[in-house]
Amino acid sequence: MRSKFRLVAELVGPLAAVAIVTVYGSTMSIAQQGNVTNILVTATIVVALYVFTGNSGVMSFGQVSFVAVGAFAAGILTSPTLSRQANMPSLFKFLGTTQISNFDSLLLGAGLGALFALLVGVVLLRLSGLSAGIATFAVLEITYDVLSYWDKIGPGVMPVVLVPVTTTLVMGALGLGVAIAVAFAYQRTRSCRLLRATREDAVAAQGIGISIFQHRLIAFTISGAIAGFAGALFVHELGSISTGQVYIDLTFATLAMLVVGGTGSLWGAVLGGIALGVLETFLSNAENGVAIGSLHVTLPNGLSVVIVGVIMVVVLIFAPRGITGSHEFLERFFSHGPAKTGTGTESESTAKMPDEEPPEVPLSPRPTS
Amino acid sequence: MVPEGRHLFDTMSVKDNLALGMLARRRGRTPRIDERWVAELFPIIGEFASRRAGLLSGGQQQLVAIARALLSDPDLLLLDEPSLGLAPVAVDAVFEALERIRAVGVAILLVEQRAQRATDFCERGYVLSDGEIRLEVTEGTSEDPESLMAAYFGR
Amino acid sequence: MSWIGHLVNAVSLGVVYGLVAVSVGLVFGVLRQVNLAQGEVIALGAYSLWMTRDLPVVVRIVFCIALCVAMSLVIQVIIFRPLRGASALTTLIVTFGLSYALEGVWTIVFGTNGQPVSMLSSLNNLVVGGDIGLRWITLVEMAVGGIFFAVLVLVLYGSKIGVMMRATAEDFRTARLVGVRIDRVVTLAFVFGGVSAAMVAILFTVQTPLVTPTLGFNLITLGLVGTVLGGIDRLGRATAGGFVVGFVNSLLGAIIPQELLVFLPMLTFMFVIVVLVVRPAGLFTPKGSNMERV
Repeated sequence: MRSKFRLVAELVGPLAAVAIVTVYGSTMSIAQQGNVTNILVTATIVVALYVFTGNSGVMSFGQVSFVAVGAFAAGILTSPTLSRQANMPSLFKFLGTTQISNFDSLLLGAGLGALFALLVGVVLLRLSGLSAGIATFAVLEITYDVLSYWDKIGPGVMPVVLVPVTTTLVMGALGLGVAIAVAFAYQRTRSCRLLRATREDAVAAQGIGISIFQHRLIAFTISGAIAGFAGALFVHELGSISTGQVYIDLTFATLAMLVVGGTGSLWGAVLGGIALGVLETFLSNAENGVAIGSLHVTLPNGLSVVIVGVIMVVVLIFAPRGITGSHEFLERFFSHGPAKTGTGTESESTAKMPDEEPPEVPLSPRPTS
Repeated sequence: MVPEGRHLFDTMSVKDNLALGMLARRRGRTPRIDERWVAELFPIIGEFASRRAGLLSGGQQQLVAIARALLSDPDLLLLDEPSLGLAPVAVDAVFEALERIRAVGVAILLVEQRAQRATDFCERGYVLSDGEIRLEVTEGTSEDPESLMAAYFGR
Repeated sequence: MSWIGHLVNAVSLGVVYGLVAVSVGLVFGVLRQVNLAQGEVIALGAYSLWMTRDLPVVVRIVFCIALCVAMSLVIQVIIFRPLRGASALTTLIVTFGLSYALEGVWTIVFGTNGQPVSMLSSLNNLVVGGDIGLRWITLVEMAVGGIFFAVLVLVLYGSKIGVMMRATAEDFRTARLVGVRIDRVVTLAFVFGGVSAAMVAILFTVQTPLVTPTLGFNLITLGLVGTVLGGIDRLGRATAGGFVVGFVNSLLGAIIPQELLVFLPMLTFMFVIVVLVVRPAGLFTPKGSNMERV
């Protein structure tokens, strides 16, 4: 019974957080609602990042590439063909003429993201540790470079414009909800459990016949799908997209959110995304001038980046498992609650998140005194 | 101290390994054990002083590890499983060296799987299990291999 | 310009990235940790050359080195000491965060568009003109890089602290066990890192006299890529990797047609991926060597 509750909490907790933010956001002005939508969409990208990094323990700097592909595909194919003829005259013919609905473009974003991730994963996922980090970073650079300059598949250095705006606050919340549900459902699968086993002890897992490569690839592809989907949401939120918006800054921002929230749990990803998102929004508003009481404050440009960077550093040094401790929502409540004698919950929770720092989890420093 | 598994710096020369051993020497005291004494104890080390430690045989490596520990001029030498994974000839060499080290007045604390060998060598020996002393052997008492076995394997 | 000219020019950038790789490789060797913030040390060094623009060159160089060493040590104390024993990736991400924060600081203090630094610009003049196109700065770079590396090798193989450093690089725990004062070794690694960052700052700004907030990050990413490519756990290999990345990047930039120049990053990073997939332990790590894969 208890473990059922815990499972429900694991899904409902993040969803409830999203609902609260959405309801609170709906009371704000239209402009402020846009900011809240942006936070929700960004959190969707963090969930995508979590699905791979959190479960596999392998850091990827490349997930924003899948966001970029999803955003550009959805943006180009839903913008008016006339605008495409004017702004992107050298497009491949089918890209220039095909027109799809916004809803279809979300599915297309997810599909392309998954496909691209699958291709990248087949080549790169035998690497781990630092090499994997560098290789995925290389993917980000390549994607950025190609999208920025190859004018047969995109607008080149110009942004994609006149994309219909349909990602409202509610749509953003629904999108994030879908991503959370997918991530949760994936966590219930055998493949994900095996992947988590490889994260705890790669050698032992291989010893009992688990294919690290295969399960990493599955996680990477699902992560790519969510990322591509988030990209499509993103472009329909902004109404336009340029490559600079889906590059290192976004990679850094989402990585910081995941790390601050807690790399090892879905709850951490969602909470980190929302918390840092709120902070960043507040700070960048303040860079344009904000009234605190009767005081009008304008923060210098760039300060938000400094503050987020410092928070990330401080959290990683003092709480390397993030503000949630990489626990799921209410996980500690259930595993250390009054009914501690209960067996199923206990052992399951310890099996999933051992207190000991596992050697393969990249974000947990082991003190050597 | 000689750690289990020797832990030499494999890519560095034997000479460098030994030089590192001298780092922990106490200042302001003429060492009882110096380079010359060690060179005499292990003449074989001089032959491969400039070789990389990782290329030596297990027995040779163990001697270098002991030499490195000795060069810190210890009052008490701690050895963890010095015969682990060594050929019988090499084990003999290790225990021979230990005899001579003890002779100059360095106390030795030895943890060793080869129980018979160890109890023969020691003045006092203990078989520990689960943190408790199961058997105590002192020099002069004729150890009964049976009871040693029994204590060792915990029956 | 002839192909010899391109090769000569490529050496220039090769040395710069080789020096970046040295500083990354030194810290990694001793701590098994990555210091991405080294790029911001370089950036600070470059900005210091702007701050001291009215002073004599010698003063500027000395000030730049001092500042870089100081900043390197500050990073050591506030970031790396609390993270002692953390994994390479953890430190990579922490220093990534720090780099980003510092980039923000440079933007606030020095502005988004960068500051012009004129420094020894006469070094850009040609020694040999025509097809070869050898500039003084290339010679200076080769000399500085060569001398620095020679000093490093001398220290590592010829001094007591060098022996301690190599021992720490090979086996941190045993090194401490035999009495190596780890803190001194780590400090020395960061001092060398600071010096090499200062040299990169100086040599790079002589050739590219505009210091922007992203300068450090751009240099360190490619430098780190080179380090991993060469084999990060050996200083020589890491340095060679840095050199190769700078060299290849510069050479590709010279030989591909002008209209395809925009795809240079793609080609460079394709090269990186191919190398990582084919030789995950590094370009210069012998195949089948039992080095631990990083």
